[in-house]
Amino acid sequence: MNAIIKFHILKSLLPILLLLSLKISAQAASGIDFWAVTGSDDDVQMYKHLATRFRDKTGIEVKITPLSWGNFATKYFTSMAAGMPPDIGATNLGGPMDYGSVGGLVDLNKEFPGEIDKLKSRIFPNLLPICIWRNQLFGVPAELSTLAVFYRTDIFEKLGLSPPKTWKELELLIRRLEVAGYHYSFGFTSRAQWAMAIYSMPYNLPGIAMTPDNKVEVDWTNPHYLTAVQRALNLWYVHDSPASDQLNRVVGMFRSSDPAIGLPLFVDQPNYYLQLPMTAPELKGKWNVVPWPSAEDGKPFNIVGGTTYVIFRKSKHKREAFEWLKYLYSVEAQEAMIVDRANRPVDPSFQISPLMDMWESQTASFWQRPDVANVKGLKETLQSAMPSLTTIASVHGASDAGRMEASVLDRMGTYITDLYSTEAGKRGLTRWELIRKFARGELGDEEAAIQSKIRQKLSKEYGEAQPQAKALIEKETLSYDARFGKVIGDLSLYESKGNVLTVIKWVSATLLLAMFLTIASVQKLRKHWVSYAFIAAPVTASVVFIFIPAATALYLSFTQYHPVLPLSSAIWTGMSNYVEVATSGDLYKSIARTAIFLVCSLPLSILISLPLAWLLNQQLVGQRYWRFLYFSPMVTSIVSIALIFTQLFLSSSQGWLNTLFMKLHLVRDPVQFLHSERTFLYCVVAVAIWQGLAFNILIFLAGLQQIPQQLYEAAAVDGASVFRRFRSISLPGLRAQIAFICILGVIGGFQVFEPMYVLGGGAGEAGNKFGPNDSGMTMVPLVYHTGFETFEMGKSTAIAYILFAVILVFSLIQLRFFRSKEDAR
Amino acid sequence: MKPSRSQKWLTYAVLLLFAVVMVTPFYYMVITSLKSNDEASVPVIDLLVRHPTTMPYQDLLKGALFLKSAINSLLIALATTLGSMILCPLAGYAFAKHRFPGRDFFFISLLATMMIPGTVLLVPGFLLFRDFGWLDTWLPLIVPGLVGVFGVFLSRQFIEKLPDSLIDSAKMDGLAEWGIFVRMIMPLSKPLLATLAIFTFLGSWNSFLGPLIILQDEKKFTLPLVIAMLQGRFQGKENVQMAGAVMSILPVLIIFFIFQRQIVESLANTGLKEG
Repeated sequence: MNAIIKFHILKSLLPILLLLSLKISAQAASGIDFWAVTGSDDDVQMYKHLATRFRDKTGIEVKITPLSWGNFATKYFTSMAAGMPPDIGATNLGGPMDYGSVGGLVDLNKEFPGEIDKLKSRIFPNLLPICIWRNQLFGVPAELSTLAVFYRTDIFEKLGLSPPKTWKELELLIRRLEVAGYHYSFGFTSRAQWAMAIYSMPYNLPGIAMTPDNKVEVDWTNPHYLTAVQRALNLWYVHDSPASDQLNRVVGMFRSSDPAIGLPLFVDQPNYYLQLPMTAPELKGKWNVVPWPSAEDGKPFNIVGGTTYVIFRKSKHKREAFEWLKYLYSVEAQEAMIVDRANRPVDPSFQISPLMDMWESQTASFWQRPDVANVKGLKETLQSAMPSLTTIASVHGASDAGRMEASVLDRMGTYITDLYSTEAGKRGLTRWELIRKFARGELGDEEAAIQSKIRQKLSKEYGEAQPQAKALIEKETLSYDARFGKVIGDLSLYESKGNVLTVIKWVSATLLLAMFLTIASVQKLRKHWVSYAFIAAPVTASVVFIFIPAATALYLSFTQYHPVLPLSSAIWTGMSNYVEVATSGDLYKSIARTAIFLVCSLPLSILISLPLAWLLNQQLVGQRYWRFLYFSPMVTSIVSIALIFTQLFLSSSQGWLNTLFMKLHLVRDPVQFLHSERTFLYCVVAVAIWQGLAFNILIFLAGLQQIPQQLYEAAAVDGASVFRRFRSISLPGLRAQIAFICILGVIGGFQVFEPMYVLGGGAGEAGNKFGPNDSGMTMVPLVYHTGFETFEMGKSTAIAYILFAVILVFSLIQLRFFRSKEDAR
Repeated sequence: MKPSRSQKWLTYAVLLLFAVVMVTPFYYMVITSLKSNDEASVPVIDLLVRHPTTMPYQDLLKGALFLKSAINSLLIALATTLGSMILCPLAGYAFAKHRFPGRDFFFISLLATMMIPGTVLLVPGFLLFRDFGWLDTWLPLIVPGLVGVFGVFLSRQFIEKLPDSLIDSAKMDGLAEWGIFVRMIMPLSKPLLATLAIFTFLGSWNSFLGPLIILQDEKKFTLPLVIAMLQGRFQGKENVQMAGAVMSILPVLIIFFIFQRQIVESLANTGLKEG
């Protein structure tokens, strides 16, 4: 072999070698890293402005990174798992417990004694419990939002209504508005879970709680709780609160020429109210606000949402981070933030400060601002609500139980919608017409019957879920010390320990080296060295990027491991993950859903694409353009597609698809496409078919072009019909392509993830991430969920391996099937 | 024989009908992206744009994050694509035309790795890159994609079809293996290269989960991450969201339009015939 060739080969491998040898130097941090879950550019500008002032005062630089509400938790957890979290972050209310309980955060009480007490004394005391986990203070509340009732004074005056003081009054009010013909008479920005929490909390019924002696209490079958839930469900599913994805459209509805569409009563967080005059300037000054109605016995209660600040354990600049935290709580910074938010030309908002002194006279100027003063009594209303704002200590594992509950609520939603639809259908009415009849007091018996059915179903559902939820939380609480406590107590030891990845890495390197040495030393092999050099890149890449991770995953599937902790802390548990997965229903449900997805999408997409490919293979005017049109979905990213389809699938009459269906009189009421467990999976199927068609057509077209034209001509001469020619020539000629698409389709179908994630709202708000009642939780989403949402790495990898086995078996069966067909011919 | 007139009409009618289905989402995207905030928030569905405006695009491009991420995505995708356009055919050529001990073993082993779902690799891949110190860099997004197994597979299938006689005659002319690869195989593999280019480019350009987990610094973000963030950043402003979708879809559509013929051609040659 001559030197020039060797040089050329080396040169071809150079990019890889270069990349591999690149040493990534850790970022030289000259200041502190501050991540803030906001996602709005205006917030970034605001923080930057504050950071400049802070730098001028202290000389400390603050680098600001915004996170979106869609994926901030993933970002925080991966950054902690990567060992490179920011110094300080703004996160959700659950963040302190979520990150703190796995050792990611600094205990502020211990790290900054004295100073933190000074800060704590200024914060409304009821707000702190959610930041406390096992007597450690993992964060402080940053900004809050609460609920209040905004109402349109013009409509209230016209109808002679007065604002509601209790729940009962609120319900009556909504009925009167419905009688008067106002659709969407109230609105929540969030989903039914929120509404439920609001109704249940006045009785201190959070559903899940920890008793003082550290026992878990799941109180879902408490009659008060059930009543609260039923109320919330009614508001949501019967009285048609606009879904969160429609909120902004609803705000825009004030401009509707349809007088039946209005939003006279707006039950929401005050941070949205500033948008009202902006989207409906004609209603300026026609708003008033009252606190959230109290329970029948007069118990006032206000639920709080918001953010917290946390400082990360791995931070190298904890002192500086804390200085920044203190600055953010200064009156100067607080006022600057409030004013900045309110003054934005687009999306102004009002955030409530958790500090008691922010309601003092020094900020009085703010309350005189015209847009704030525009709503009468805002300050008084909020101030009166502040003392009742409460957070409740988080329970480890409560989020999993909460997910269980969310599924119950999803199922209830479908059930309620169905009951009303059936009743309406019996009378030839739409749901809305039926609800108005009920509101007028007509058909009282029927309404009572429906409500009692709802109650029964609710008791049954919660009765079944309660013991499961309790068992789940108890398990997580009990296993906490074994899983985390021990490791967190001795983190540096575990961090310095060798781990399985190191072992696998060395084994792999030895393997590669042995391979190289064998080739170099054995004469028979050495003469083929060029061939080996040519395949070196993919072989090496497969070992490094596939074999090593796959082997690590296999090991992890026999352990219990949380990704935030060092890898050496994985606990060997033998087959228990596999046993647990095989005995729990989740796996089989997800397999069943995957099967439905496959059975619906694959045959249909072949049936549609085959004739289309055939047509596109004809001589057409502008053939290139026709084909391009049909191919285009193939090259479009699923993220963008999902963005588009969530709009087209909107549940209200705003959605294009619903409008089409209603115009064609296919449905009486809008279909809850993405919000019903019954339709969600099929929506994803439709999107998958829509996007998958292009690839199928492409493959079929390629196949059709290989079929000699003479065959068709000969058949045509023989007088074969078009259909006949398609069946006898094209179809058999495409056997290989059909097999190819089936095999790829099955593999792809088993692995479907992104459409479930994005259409299921995973990229948006919390709650069920893979569609209502987890109806989109196919196999890969289940792997993702156990791995990155409940952080059971071991279980997740076990499921992944089971998935691997299933795909393997199916592929082999298919291969055999298509082989034998081939042989039979 | 020419198809009859009515058949022709029927062909066009069916194609048109489905074309409407295919195009509607894109149509929605484009018209919404041209609507002003006011027009986009009107509750009544309007299939037309009354007062087209570029405001949504201006909003989108404000702050430079969007453009920056588009450039990042482009760089990552180009690096991956260029690398795979050399390395995949190189390996494919060896697998297709060389005879050496262990060839089938290596090839089948490579194919077997395609069976492993990406999800299995997600977490340990993350741990591996953490171990390498590659987190929050583009390396995990580029390096593994340089030699995709699917690309090697496609290359082998394509190059296998090239006549052996060409290679033999090249050898007679005194060309060594690298010379054969560069002067014979590569020029004859243009459809293959086009396919490799589009598949690798698309895979990289559209990938979401990997960058989501790997990247932390906003300045390094890729386009899909920023697109997904639009939902939060421009909440309720479908026009801006759709402007983002347009900007992410348009470049690939243009590339695809140019390469369309080669792709169809090369797929026809990838050896699907024998199944």
